[in-house]
Amino acid sequence: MSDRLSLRWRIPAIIGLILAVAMVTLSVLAYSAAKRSAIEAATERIDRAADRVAELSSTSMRALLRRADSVASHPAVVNALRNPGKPLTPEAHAAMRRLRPDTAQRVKIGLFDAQGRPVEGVAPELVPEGPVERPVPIDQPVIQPFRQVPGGISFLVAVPVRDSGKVIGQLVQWRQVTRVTASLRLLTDLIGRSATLLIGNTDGSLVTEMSDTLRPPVIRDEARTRQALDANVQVSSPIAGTPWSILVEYPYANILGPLKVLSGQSIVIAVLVLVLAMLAAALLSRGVTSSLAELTTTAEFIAGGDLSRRPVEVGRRDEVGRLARSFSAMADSIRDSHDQLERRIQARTADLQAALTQLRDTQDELLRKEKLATIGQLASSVGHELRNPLGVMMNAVYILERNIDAPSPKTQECLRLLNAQIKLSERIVTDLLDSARSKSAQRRLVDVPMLLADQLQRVTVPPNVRVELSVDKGLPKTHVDPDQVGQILVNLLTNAAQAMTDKPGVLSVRARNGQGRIRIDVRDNGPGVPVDLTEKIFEPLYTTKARGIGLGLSVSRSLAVANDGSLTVVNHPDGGAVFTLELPAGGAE
Amino acid sequence: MNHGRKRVAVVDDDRDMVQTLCDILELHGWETVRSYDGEGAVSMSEAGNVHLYLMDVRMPRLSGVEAWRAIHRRQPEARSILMTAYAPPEALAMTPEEGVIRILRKPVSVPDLLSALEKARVEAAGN
Repeated sequence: MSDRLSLRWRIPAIIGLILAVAMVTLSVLAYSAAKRSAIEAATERIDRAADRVAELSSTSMRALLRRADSVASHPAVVNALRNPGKPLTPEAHAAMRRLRPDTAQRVKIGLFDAQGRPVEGVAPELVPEGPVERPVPIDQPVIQPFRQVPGGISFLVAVPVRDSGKVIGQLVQWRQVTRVTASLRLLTDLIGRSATLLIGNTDGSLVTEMSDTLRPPVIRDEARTRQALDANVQVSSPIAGTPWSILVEYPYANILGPLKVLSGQSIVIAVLVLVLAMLAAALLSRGVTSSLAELTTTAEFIAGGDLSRRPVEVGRRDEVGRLARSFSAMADSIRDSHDQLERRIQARTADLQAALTQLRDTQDELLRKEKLATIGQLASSVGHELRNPLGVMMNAVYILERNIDAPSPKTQECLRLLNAQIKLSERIVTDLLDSARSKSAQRRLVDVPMLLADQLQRVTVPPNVRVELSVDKGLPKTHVDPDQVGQILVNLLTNAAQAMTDKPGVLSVRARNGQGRIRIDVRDNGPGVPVDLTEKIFEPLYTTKARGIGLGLSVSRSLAVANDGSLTVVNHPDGGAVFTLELPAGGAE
Repeated sequence: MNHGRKRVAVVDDDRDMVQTLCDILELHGWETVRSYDGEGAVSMSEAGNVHLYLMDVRMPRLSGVEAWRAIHRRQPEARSILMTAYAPPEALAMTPEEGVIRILRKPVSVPDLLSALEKARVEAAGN
């Protein structure tokens, strides 16, 4: 598992992601709600301001109409229309001049009779240039929409002239639009300098910007209108009694400015919260994942064979502690099972080992028996066949001994050698035949000291060897076949004597009592038995002697076993071999 | 009567054995008659002048045991000493009634042989 995919990083990452998404969504929603309400509030305020400005304009237009009415009802003006064709009186002129602007408005004035003909003789500076059209209707006041004219924007205001209630003519003014300082001041007072004031026809055919207090109004083209609509909140309010409307524009930037500052601050706060949340999550997840990592490491150790490994967090009181405790319990049970299994395997292995040893012993025994069987066949033909020539030789030596009257020492020595060698040959043959024959032991109670003495007599001991015999007092009798055990003893004694041919030696025979067994040690002080041969010498056909066929010890051991005894050899610490024949004690007869 | 005389038939298929045994026995005052097989011994018994037989057990054709049984039928008073190189003496299962004084294991020791012969001579003479 790479660190990038570790729970330790994934948990804070996921928490951070969720928080980020939530905060962004909330921010967007909050911002749009705040924006909407800010715009609504601003629009309402602007709306009220536009209404106030429209009211102000309406008031001033009504004042204008009243002034026109007063001129139209002036006797001099009425008289002029009663008597068309007569020159206009100075009074009439004076009355009409009262309509001349008190502001910088440029005003032209016209007077029409009931048929729509202009009244002649009006002062030239009052009359507009070029042909003019009489506005309809003539029997009521008329205020026409703005029109674009060379040099600016103008509008027409007409009132009827009545003579005793009868309409006899019409007083018309063409007025040029100029600055509206009062309205602007009002607007600035209400919503500040950022607002733009516009006046236009209610049908939208012409809109002028009035914001500049120094310059005449400017007509707005379509591109400018679109641009202004994109960047501003726009509110219109009709001017009562006129075909005009007041328009107020207020830039979005001004409305949303504070909101932008606020949202900037909230982004900073959001980022801070996010970072803190991720840090907290990282700490928390580290607490959990480090425990998991520790458990994992422990599990890996256990899998690797270290069954004593346990998690350290078993003392924790949270879920991690519980997990660690369960884990420990599980590891304990694994270790127990493992130990149990181990013990079982050891026991089985020991059983197998024992069975194997037994099998090997049996196999060795079988092998030995097979060897002996082969020897048996050989023995029955060769051994028996040799007995005849041996007999003849023995007879011949016997005759010689008696036929030579005065044998020289040399002859005597030769005859003695002949006798000895024939006896040795006979013993070899006997061994052969004994090993071949599986005669069952005829056991009875036998006196050990007597048995030993008999056998010692049968053995030819060289003159350089001294014999020491010691028998424990109160030694019980042994329950064996005396012939077979006698043969064992002869073999052991002969071997011991032969081991000490070169130098003076001691052949020590000791019989002792040991826990229901009788142990007979036959010790020589010859060269001893090489350690690796202590078992080998008991195999048939194995011999270390120049003469001999290697049956003596093999037969001896077989006979010992047949008599419920055993035959072993060790080397004495002071040199020489110690053969121990162990026999069953038989008690009193 | 020949009874009591130190006269013995030595029967063995090994001529050297017969020769040396006869030499030894003659040294000790015995008169010997030789035979090299069982049939020879049986025919010898027809003459009836030998009453002691020293016989090898294992011989070609007629074994010592068979030859002795044939002789003993004819001369119930005769006695024998059997010599065996092969079968252990007890394996021959000879009964005392069959006139066998001893069964000697080959090679035969001279003192054993002489004492057995003496015993046989006395027994044969007693009959």
